[in-house]
Amino acid sequence: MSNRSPLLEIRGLSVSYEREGKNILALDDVNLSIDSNTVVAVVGESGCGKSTLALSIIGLLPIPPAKIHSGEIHYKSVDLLRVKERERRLFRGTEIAMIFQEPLTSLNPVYRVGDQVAEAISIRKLREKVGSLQLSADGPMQKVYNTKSRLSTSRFVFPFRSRYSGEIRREVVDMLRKVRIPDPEQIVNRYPFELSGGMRQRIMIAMALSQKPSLLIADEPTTALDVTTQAQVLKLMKELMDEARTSVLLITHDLGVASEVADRVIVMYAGDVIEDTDVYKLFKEPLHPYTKGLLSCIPSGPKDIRKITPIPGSIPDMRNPPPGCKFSSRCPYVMETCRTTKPPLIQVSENHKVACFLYPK
Amino acid sequence: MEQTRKLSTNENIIEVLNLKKYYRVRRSLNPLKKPFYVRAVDDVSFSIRAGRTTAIVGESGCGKTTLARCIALLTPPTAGKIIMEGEPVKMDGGSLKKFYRKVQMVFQDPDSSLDPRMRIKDIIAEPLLNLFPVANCDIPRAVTEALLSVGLPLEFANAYPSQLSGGQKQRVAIARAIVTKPKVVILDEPTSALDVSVQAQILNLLIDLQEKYNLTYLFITHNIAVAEYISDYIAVMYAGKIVEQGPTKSVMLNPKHPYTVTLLLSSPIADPLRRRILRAEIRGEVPSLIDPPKGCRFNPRCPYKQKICESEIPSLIELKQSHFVACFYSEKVSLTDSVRDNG
Amino acid sequence: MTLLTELAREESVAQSRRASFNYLGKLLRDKSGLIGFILVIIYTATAATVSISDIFRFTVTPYNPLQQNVGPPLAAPSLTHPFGTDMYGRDVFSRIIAATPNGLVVSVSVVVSTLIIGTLLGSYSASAGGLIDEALMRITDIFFAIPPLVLAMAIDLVLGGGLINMMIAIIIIWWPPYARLARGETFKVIHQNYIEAARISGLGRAGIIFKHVIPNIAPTMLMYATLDMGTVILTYSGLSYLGLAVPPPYPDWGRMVSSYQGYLLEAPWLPVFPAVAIALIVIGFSLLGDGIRNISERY
Repeated sequence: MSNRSPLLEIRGLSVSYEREGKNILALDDVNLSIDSNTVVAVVGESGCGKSTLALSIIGLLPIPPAKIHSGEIHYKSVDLLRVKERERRLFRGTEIAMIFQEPLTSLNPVYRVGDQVAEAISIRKLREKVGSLQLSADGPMQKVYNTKSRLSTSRFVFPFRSRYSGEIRREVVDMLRKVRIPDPEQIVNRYPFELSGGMRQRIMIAMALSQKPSLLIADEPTTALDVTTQAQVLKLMKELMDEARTSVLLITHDLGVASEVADRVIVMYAGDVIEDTDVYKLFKEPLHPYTKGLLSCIPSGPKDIRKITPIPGSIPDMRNPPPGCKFSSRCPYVMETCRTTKPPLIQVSENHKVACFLYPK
Repeated sequence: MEQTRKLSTNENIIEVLNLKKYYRVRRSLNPLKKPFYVRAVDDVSFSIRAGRTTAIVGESGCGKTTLARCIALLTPPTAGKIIMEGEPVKMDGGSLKKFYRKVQMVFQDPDSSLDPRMRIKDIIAEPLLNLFPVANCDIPRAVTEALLSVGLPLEFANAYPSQLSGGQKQRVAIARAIVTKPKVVILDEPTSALDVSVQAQILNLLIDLQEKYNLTYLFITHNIAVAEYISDYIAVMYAGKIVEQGPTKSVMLNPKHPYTVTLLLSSPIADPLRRRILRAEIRGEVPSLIDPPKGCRFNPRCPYKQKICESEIPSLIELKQSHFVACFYSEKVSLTDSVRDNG
Repeated sequence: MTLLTELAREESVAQSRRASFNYLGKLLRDKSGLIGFILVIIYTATAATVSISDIFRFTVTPYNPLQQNVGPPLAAPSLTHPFGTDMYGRDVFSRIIAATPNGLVVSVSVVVSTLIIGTLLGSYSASAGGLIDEALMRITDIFFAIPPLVLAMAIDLVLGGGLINMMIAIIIIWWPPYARLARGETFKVIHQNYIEAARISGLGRAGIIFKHVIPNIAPTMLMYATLDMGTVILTYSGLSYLGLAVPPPYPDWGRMVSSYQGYLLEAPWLPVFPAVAIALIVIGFSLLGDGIRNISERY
């Protein structure tokens, strides 16, 4: 896990949004790396930039209003930010897959779910046929995206059965069975709106998995689900990704979810990575005052046994971010230097990085 | 463990008896076919103790929001009675006003619960204006007191909701709910839309206000950790029915309904040494309320299911000190043997 | 919380003072809004001047619009008669100016009345729901089914013609779209939590409609009303063209088009002036409405 080069490495990423003439800072010089076959949770509250991070990696950031000021995103030795969009597209959905929070809007409502999974499988088969990733703009991968045949109207009329070859149809059913959808032969013919939230999220996982990606980005995949469904989906994701040796970048605001499934946790606050360590260390010995504050906010047990202590104040205005550490206005341990200089993310012990002046190198 | 709280003379300030709320759904255009009913609340009975917090916990579609709205008299129940301080509640104009002087509500979505065209001070003053028309001269003082007690600076009085954050808006909603010094506040998922640190602020604020004004809370949530934190009594709902209820400590330490156990096992814990989601066996999905399973609603997903569970509906039976369970095999149910703890 | 407090304080104090200026400023910066605004202002000012001059009996027009033979009939536009003269030798320019208030007065009255009627009916219908809503909507359907102009003509004839009766006739056929719009907007609003909060605050249905629903549907209703003003003027001009509005010899643009169009070969400029007058004010309102729509941000 430590000798090989990381699967994904982000250096110095800074992104801001322009709204009503003002620049809202979203990511401020973010550095992180993800190894292969690990689950990394990026945890933070709203406004910390975690979704922006996910969108930047997969290249779905709306530019404008977003603007990438600087940074490198190295994926398997390719800098995704320096590569043309046509080549970037070859990674999206294939090497790097993504699932979103609300599956109803990420699945195409006018196609049956079987068709959508079959499409993902077809693309993978094509990739396998042409060998490893083709980066040329005229290569066979490009032909898949240019083909018009997938827009034929027979999709609407005939059920899933008639459109794809028997081999692909079997694989689709297998895939659905793998994500533990009951009655997969029936479900392939259903439209997304006929399915429950948990089922739709499983379909998304099936589509992502059928590409055999090396990295799966999951942006709050279970936030919109009930807690029992969430447990089922998380368990499924963890098992399948383990089996496929796919790394997962799990974006969540829920420290409990991170604790349950992650191997490593990265904590973000107001566009900065402020702590980065393995999951056991984070919960046992949190270093950053924000992490400590966050952990003591979580209810666990009745109020007379363990009263939660909220963090006073609120996140700074990202239109005018303060100089120095962004948490300084709320930090119980704040020092003079915190208000003027931004603490860098440094390694304080094996496998534990933190951005705080309380901790020398 | 016993807290010194002021109790009102009536121990149960609100009682709900056999409450049912069914919605009619027409499945086909054929007028001869019988319509289907969504049984959102299906024969629910429980009591709310004065001065304490009672939580109703359940996932989406279990009927808890409908139950809250029925108790708040926002929708008339299909059957059953609501008893407020010993008297059954009527839904005509005068009785409604009397009721709302004593019962107020805080909603889940802070963005839509404040009129975007009104200033904060007018939003907070509204219940006073309508429910206590004689006290008009006192209004600025009451609004000021409400603002300060929820921890908002006075300058916010002239602001519009769009200028406030989610947590601040929710504080305004709470201020509006307590400005008439009600006896009961119904809170429908008040912190579900908020970040965890803001949630912590609001939860502690609610606890302080309860202490200060001797309020009774009916707290609806899907988050069992929050329910455990803030409530004295808890009722677990599933598919329109209460499956377990009792003092929070008793239910949390010793859940006796398989669904309660499932709920507890599915709730993620912020401690990787006590991981349990990945070990728990959770089957199936939340059922539809139009065509719920026959017999015990939970039976298709229940690991303890027997033949009788498919045909008969278990009723709530008191196991011990106010702890009720609706299950034929509750003695067999235990939290520990569903999960093997990490050594 | 300090930064937000600062911002909130500044904004709320300034909000009440600056709100109207800000809105106007934004409107004038929008291209459509600017042109529309200018046109409407010109017309309104002219109409106001003419109306005041009528009340206080002083003249603003270069010639008496009713007086015949102030110049040779059918004279071309010149310095003395900027729009020329008509077949009776009356100064066309004076007539155009004098007729300005007609369309505007009708338009304003109709729009204001239908706005009030439609908003009340529509919001009540939506809030009542059930059979009442169905019944009211079917009544609006009836009005939609009948060709509006025909009905307006019929009503006007029955009432006897003239400006006021024309206004009444148009109002009767004009309110249904407002009711529909108000109903739709009310539905959007009525499911919000703050409406339920208002019920829990002890407000009854009427109170909720006036205090919460109407202020929130007002922006959309007013936007529609502004766009609609032009349409009313157009309709009124059409009816006036048919001779159903202001009787001769009083000038009215629509009727002027009708009576002048026969002279198209001899004096081609003659029908153009009243037609352009109508067109410009209709365009003006349309652009103004577009401008308002462009700058409206939905909260």
